[in-house]
Amino acid sequence: MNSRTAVAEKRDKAELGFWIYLMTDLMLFAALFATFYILRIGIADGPKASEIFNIDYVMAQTLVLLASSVTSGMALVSAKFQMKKQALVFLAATIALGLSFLVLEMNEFILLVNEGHSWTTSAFLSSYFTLVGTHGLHILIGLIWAVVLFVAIMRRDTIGDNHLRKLGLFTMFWHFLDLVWIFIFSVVYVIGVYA
Amino acid sequence: MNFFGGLLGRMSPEYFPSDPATIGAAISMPLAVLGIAGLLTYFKKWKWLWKEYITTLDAKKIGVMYIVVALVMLIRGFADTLMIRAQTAIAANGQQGPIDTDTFQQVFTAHGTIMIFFVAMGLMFGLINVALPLLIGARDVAFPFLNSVSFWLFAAGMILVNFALIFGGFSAGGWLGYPPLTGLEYSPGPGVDYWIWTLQIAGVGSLLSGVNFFVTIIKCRAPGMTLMKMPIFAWSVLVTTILIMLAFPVLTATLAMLSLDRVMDMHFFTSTAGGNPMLYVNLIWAWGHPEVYILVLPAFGIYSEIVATFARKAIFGYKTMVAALIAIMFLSFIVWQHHFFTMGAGANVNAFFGIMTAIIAVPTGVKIFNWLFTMYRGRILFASPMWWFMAFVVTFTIGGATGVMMSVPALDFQVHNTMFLVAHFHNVIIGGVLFGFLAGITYWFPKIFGFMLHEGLGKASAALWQIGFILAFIPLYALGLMGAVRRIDSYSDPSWQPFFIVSAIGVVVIGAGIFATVLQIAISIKNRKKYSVGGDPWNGRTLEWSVPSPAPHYNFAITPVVEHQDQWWYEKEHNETNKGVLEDIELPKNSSLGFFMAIAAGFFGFGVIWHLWWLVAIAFVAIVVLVIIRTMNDDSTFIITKEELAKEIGARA
Amino acid sequence: MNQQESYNTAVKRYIIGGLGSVFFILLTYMMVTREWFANPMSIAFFVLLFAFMQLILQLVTFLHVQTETKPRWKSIGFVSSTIMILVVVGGSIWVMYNLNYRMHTSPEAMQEYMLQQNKKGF
Repeated sequence: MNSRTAVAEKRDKAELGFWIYLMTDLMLFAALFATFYILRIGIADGPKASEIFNIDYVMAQTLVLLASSVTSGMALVSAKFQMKKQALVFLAATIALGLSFLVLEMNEFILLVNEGHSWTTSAFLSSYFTLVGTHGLHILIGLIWAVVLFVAIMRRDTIGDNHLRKLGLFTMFWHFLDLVWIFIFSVVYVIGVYA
Repeated sequence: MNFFGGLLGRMSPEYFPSDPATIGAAISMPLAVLGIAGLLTYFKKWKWLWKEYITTLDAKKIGVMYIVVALVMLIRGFADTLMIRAQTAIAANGQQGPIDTDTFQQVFTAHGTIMIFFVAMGLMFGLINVALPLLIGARDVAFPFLNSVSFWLFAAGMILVNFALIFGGFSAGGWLGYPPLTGLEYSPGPGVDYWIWTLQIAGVGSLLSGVNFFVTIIKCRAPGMTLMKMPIFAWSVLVTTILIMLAFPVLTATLAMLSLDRVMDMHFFTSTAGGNPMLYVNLIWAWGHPEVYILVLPAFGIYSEIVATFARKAIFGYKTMVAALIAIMFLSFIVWQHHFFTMGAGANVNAFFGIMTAIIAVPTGVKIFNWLFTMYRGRILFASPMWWFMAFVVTFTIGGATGVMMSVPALDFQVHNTMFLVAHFHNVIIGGVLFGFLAGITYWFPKIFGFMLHEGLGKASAALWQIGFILAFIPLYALGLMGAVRRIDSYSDPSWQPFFIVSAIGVVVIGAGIFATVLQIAISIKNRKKYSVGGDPWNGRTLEWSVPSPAPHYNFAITPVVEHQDQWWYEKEHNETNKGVLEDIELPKNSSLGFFMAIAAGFFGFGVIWHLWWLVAIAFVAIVVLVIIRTMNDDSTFIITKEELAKEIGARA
Repeated sequence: MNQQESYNTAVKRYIIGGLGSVFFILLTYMMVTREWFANPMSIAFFVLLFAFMQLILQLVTFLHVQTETKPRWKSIGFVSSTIMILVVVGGSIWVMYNLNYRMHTSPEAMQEYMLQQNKKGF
């Protein structure tokens, strides 16, 4: 069996499997979105969306995550053409930007809790923290993954087929998370506040 | 929170069992485990167990483990059945039954949870693992390591649900656990948390299996096997995996939200602070309805294989069978509201979902007719798998008919949550799902183990199940129409008692059927030399019968080249040998990481249940570390060269 | 993923995707902060429209979805998943809206509602 085709077959299987897994993750987020949309009126004694969300802050988060999505794609392209140093630089940028996104999000959560608006206050806030928090948890797992990949690629002289395949899966994951964020941004922070 | 408070969470001696039934179970289960451990030590089989089963990545062995766990859990779930029917047969009109009310609630909750999640799902994944790769001419599933992870997560869930008996008690909220009853206010104890985490852990395993089998069918079929040349069983698995992948995330999200309500005082499903318990019912059934099709479609696939084989005819209407499967797949996603017609959504909503529910009977009927047409003018051999099929046709048709009755909202308002409903769903699950999986076990057993199961006991089991089913469940239809609701442990109308007694007798007959199966397996193992067979004991039609029995680790020494449906039958009829070419085979090495990941996941769940946050943190880190260790493993396969293979084939000849 | 794609083409893809996404995000931002529409329905419609357009843009440029060789499992998978998601989410919203609508606050309001339904002939 030709080893070039074996490598390609293995990559195809992995990519299809991971893509399908991302579709199931999409369904998970869809259930959380549906819950958010249905419970958004359940504000009880707590605040409503327009009282606690700041669109400028969220814009900053969105642009940071988008930038990290672009750098992750550039890391993959660099790796495909065996430009190891460039790939590592872009991957490091992805991690830094992703971490900044997470810090911004944590900051927002902490501010809200300190003002007395926590997930125990109302159904609206429960579903907000859970939807955005689940996305944040996925980002955290992605960052751990990226760091492991960074170390693995750094240790070898060239970028092997296995690492290329795994980097491909990571960037798929990372792009997916940016796509979900677009909808969180649109539904929770924009429509939730202005419409 | 003082140090020891943090260390022990909310554990306390009050959570040891206090009623005799539970105490009995809490003592006998660990004793049974110790007994097995003792036997393993005495026969010095630990290393064998570790190497051959615990760390295996061979789908056939993983399938066997699923089936063993499922059959053990069948006994456990059946014990619950005996308790339920003993109680209802006795507790009429003020008479005290043997089980107290609190225990009764836990018993029927455990019964439903175990039967669906561990017996039905376990048998399903077990049979798919055993048969699917062989049927499509593959060596293994697409992701063998993930397969191992899925099984061990399933096993971890099984351990948790049984551990609840020993310490903490199980949920008393029914197998679907509706809030507010299962919310923090009305069920503050650990029982509901055990239920949540059992399902979450096993559910992740199921989801990963769905992805695994989907990619296997798409990418690992033998060369030349187009989708329209696949056996119908493979089509049914394909459709099932799509259902699994779209439905299980909803279960994961919903259970997570219930857990967040309970553990972090959130308000998704509470009656106050803006929560909406009806949302839980909606979401859980958006998963729950596809789930029952997930269970029955592989069973339908098994029937397709069995009927074609024993009628000695190709399946009638291959294309309409495929179309029916796809139609059922789509329709099963737009009927879920029929499980709560009475919750008050109004006429328009009820009408839409009622009509969709009625329509789903059509493709199902197409399949049944196609099986019957396959039998027509065939040279039928009534071996034991066919007995299960005949039992299915009778039983499932009754159940399906009562389902169509209840699809009419006006009628459903009369019988919702009565014994009529209980009779219906047992009717379709036992007739469709269980009979199908028992048939599948009988049918594929010789392929995996190299010897047949005792035919007479197999037929006896099918007959006992059929008779027992009628006695146990037909009276329940009458009871439901007379007004008996479900989940009651006592009743005041003495005219109901004869029906409950007949039902109890039926349960005993079913018990005899289960015993017949256990006896069948035991006797067959004892006489395995006498019952040993070659590769094709049933004169089969599909590829799995072209390899020796027991099937070698790599399934096919030479990957078959497929040119026709029922390729093996074609080759036998036309005296052709397969055009495949001998090549090196790459197989995965064993791995213990799946086993350890599941242990970590089990501890994660255990930690959340008992509020042991230090344990939750450690378990989470452990899972991450184990995953990273796996990804760093670049040496996970080994090669069998074609020279070694040629020698092996020669030695066998 | 195409091995034949050159480095420059790939880089161009990401630049187009990135700039295009920024464009859509800014469009949404300006639409609400500068109040281009008063009607909440219009706001919701356009926000979702821009979100979907950004989704398609990123699917094509970042995730490179349309260029697989046949059969296009990723595209089929994505489209069918989206349809099913819309069914489950849309269906849930429809069902819950109906349930909530019929949860009246007082017995009198419920009675009035039922009498009204009776008159309509339901």
